[in-house]
This record gives sequence, C-alpha cells and structure tokens, in this order.
Amino acid sequence: MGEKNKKLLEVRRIRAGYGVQDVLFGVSVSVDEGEVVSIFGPNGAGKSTLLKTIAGVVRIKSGEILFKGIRIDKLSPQSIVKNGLGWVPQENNIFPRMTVRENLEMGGFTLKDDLEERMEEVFSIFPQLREKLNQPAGSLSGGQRQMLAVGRGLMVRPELLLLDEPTAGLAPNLVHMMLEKVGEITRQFRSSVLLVTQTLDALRFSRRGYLLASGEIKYEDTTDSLLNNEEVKKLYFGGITVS
Amino acid sequence: MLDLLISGIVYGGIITLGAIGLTLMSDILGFFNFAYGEYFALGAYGTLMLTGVFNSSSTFKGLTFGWSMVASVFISAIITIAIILLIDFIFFRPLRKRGVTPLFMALASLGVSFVIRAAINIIWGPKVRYYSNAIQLSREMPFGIHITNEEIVILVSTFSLVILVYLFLKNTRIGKSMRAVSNNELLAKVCGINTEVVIVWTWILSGVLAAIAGTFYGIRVQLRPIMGWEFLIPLFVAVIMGGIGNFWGAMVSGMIIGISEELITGLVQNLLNSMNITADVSVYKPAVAFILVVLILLLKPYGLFGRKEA
Repeated sequence: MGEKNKKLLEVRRIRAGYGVQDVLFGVSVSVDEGEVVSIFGPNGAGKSTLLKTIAGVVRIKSGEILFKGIRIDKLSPQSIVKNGLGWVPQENNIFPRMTVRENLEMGGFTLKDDLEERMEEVFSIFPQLREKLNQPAGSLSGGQRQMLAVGRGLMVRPELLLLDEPTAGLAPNLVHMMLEKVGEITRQFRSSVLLVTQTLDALRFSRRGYLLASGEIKYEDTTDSLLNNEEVKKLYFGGITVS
Repeated sequence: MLDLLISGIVYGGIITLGAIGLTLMSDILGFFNFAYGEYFALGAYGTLMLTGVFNSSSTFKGLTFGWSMVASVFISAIITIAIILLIDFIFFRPLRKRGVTPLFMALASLGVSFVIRAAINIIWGPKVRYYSNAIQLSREMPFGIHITNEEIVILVSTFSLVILVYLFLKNTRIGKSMRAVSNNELLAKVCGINTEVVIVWTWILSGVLAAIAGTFYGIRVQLRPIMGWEFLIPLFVAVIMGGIGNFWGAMVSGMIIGISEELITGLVQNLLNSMNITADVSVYKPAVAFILVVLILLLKPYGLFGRKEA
C-alpha cells in the first residue's frame, strides 16, 4: 500500500444545507485511494446531506470539495459522475418502473460502450441480479433492490463510491452479506468507499471513521480507536462493549 | 351499437395519442400543462393552413385527403414543436430554473393556453373549419358495422404511432433516459443524464403526438378555436385514470373514455329519440369522462394502472 496516503477526496470546511437552513457546519472529511471510510452518527446529523453535497446534488455555501485534486463543488452531478464518483442514495435508489437490465444501463449511461462487460462485472459481485434481469426493479425484495442500487453505482467503475446506509432495512444475514460485497468491490473495482452508517458492523468494516453530529465532525480516528472510545460507545452505540 | 363502439374506438385512439404525450409531459416535467390542449389545436390549424398553401385537390382513392394532407401534418408537427420549444424557452425554462412549484407551473401554463387560443381566434377566426368539404362515405363491414375510410386511416395510423412511440421509449438511449427521468429525476441526474435534453425530447415527442392527434380530430370532427380546451378534459381524465406517467395506462384509459363517451351518449340519444324527446346528448360527453374518473379514483386512488411506489 505504498500509495495509501494519496488523497482521493478532500472535503474542506464545507457549509451546506437546504435553502436558508444549514445542515453542515464546516465539515472536513478525506478519503485516500483504496480506503473504506465510515461516517456515522445519530439521525439528523447531516450524514446523507454530506454525501449529497459531495455528489453535487446539494450545493455548498462555503468551503471546497476536491476529487483527485480538482475542485468539483461547482460541477453538475452529471459532470461529477463522469469524473469517477458514484453515489448510491439510501432511498429512492432505483428506477422502479424499469427492468433490472435498464437500471444497470442507466448506471452506465455515460459509457460509450462496454455496457455488457460492465454488467458482467456487476453480476460477478451480485449474481442474483442476473436471474432478475428482465424483471421490473420495483418488484424486487429490499435486499435485491439494495444490490441493484449498488450495482448501478458500480457500472461506471467509480474510483470513489458514496454509499448511504447500504444495510438499512436489511435482515441481519443480508447486512453481513452486503458488507462482504463492499469488501469485494474495493478489491475487484479498486474503488474507495465512503460509507454512511448507523451500525457497528459497518463501522468495523472500515479503516477510519468520522463521527458526525449536529452537522459537525465530533471525532475522527481509526475504526479501532473509535470503537474503543468510551464516550463514543456510550453516546452513539448505547454503551455496547466492542470485542 | 357496434357503430357506436367503432366510433368510440376511433375517438379513443385520438385521445390515446394526446394522452400519451400529456402523461409523459406531466410525469417528466412534473406539472399538468394546461397549454397542451392548445398544442393539439395548433397542430390541427397548422395542417389547415398548410393544406391551403399546397392547395392540391388530388386525393387518395376513397379518401377526402391526399398527399398534401400528409405533407401538411408532417410540417405542422415540426412547426408545433418549434412553437412549443419557443414557449418553453421563454416561459417554462426560466420558471424551472427558479424552482417554481408545480402548482404555479400549471397556472403559468393556463396563461400560455389563453394566449395561444386567442392567437388562433385572431388568425383563423371563431368560425368552424373543415379540412375538406367532401362527404366522408362510410362502408359496410361484417356484422353491419359502418366505418369511413378516414376512420380506418386514423385507427391504423394511431396504433402504428403508439407502437412506434413505445419502441422509441423502450429501445432508444433517449427514450430510456426519458423513462429514467420520469421514474426518478434525481437518480437520473447522478447517472449522468442531462435532464434539460430529456425535457426538450419530451416537448418534441408530445408535440408530434399533439399535432397528429389534433389533425385526426379535425379530419373526424371539425376545427374550432375552443377544440384544444375541450379536448383537454378527456386527456386529463385519461392521464389521471391511467396513472400519471403510465404509457399503457394512458392508452387503455383513452380507449375507455372514447368508447364510454360515444356509447353512453349514443345510447341515451337513441333512447330519447325513441321517446320523441328532442335533446342533444352529445354535449354531455365530457360529463361521462368526469363520472368515470370520479368512480375510478374512488376505487383506485392512483388510477387504474398507477400504484403507490414503495
């Protein structure tokens, strides 16, 4: 990992929100190449807004966002995805009235060709999707929808994948499977992952983590240190002892 | 009875063409465009103007129109699209950029519809117009069905167009991106789809359908400046009944409305005639559409084919 300190994403002191309502107050976050980083915190902390802001859906009011050293905070979401950044929202993350195949095609909308090859790559991670290829996405189960949402995000082989609570609402066995898949993605696609989570399992899975509360980063550390931080455990994980 | 059914299918086909355009527009642009009926009237009057320009008396065998009509429809569709895009550029696009709510967009479209209708009145006058003064002769078909050659042309053209539009939406890159935006606009954006390009294509497609449907209506009935406003009622009912954004829903609902309007008013008219009661029931056709939509929405609030998405 000689290049492990090469910064892929740098979010610098951003302030962002909806209309006059600010949600993020001077948030700074970074992701290195090949890294899985978690953002965790209570509901309403601004975690999803942070991902939306990086994806270009919510505009910053101050600060800057650099991706591969280039400022992207003024770019449209379309341009950001072309730069190699994929976003998988927590909700409304599929095209329900389109088939699984069409959803994947839309994920690869910016590609000139290679659609079939990219789909095969997605199927190598989520083989279940191949069997549902011509089925409307809206008819899939919760777990399958999540797989499709992540698969759609992978179609452009993103250098950085923003995953917003990919395990939310999934059965416990599927949570573990989904996290395993995130691991496969980083290995197979050599993608970095910025993961928003509220679960310990997902946090354990990443190398570093940020605790976001009330729109501010309260703690930033390696996962091991965060999981053994008594205050973090007490405040955000109900005092659970971490093994 | 069968004649009424055929008449209803022909009328339903015309409603279907308009309803598909309107349902796509409502779903992708996110508001009910009250000016859509006027686009329909513009297409019809555009064809009238161009047939006058071509001034050709030659007709297809057994029909009241010829190649000049075909060319006129084609050019009229292009002119209608150009006007629609100009209106979008002047009115709707700036409002979209300012994030105006769907309600105010709909109100703005109401203003646009008044302007277009007034312009049609000024240019062509309030008089009823016809593409041809020749009488459309009906032919006897099996089971005692009567249908005119014009109606056959309208039916075949309508269903061919519906299939073409379906294939366009299903198989082309732009068609798929239109469906993606109609499904989930935000997700479409982060997939790299340019939603402004999709909106332009939506105007183009719905403009073509409006112009052709308007012309078919003109061939079958007549041209009046109010025709767009009147036609808007069954169109809205078809869109609501079919579920906003639902292609097949718009088609089936268009057919249901067309057939119901013709059958119910026709049967009531026959009944009144047999009782020697003088009344023109045909003016109550829109009431049939309204009763239908109320009944269906009471039973299925998201329309016949629409559903609440999880």
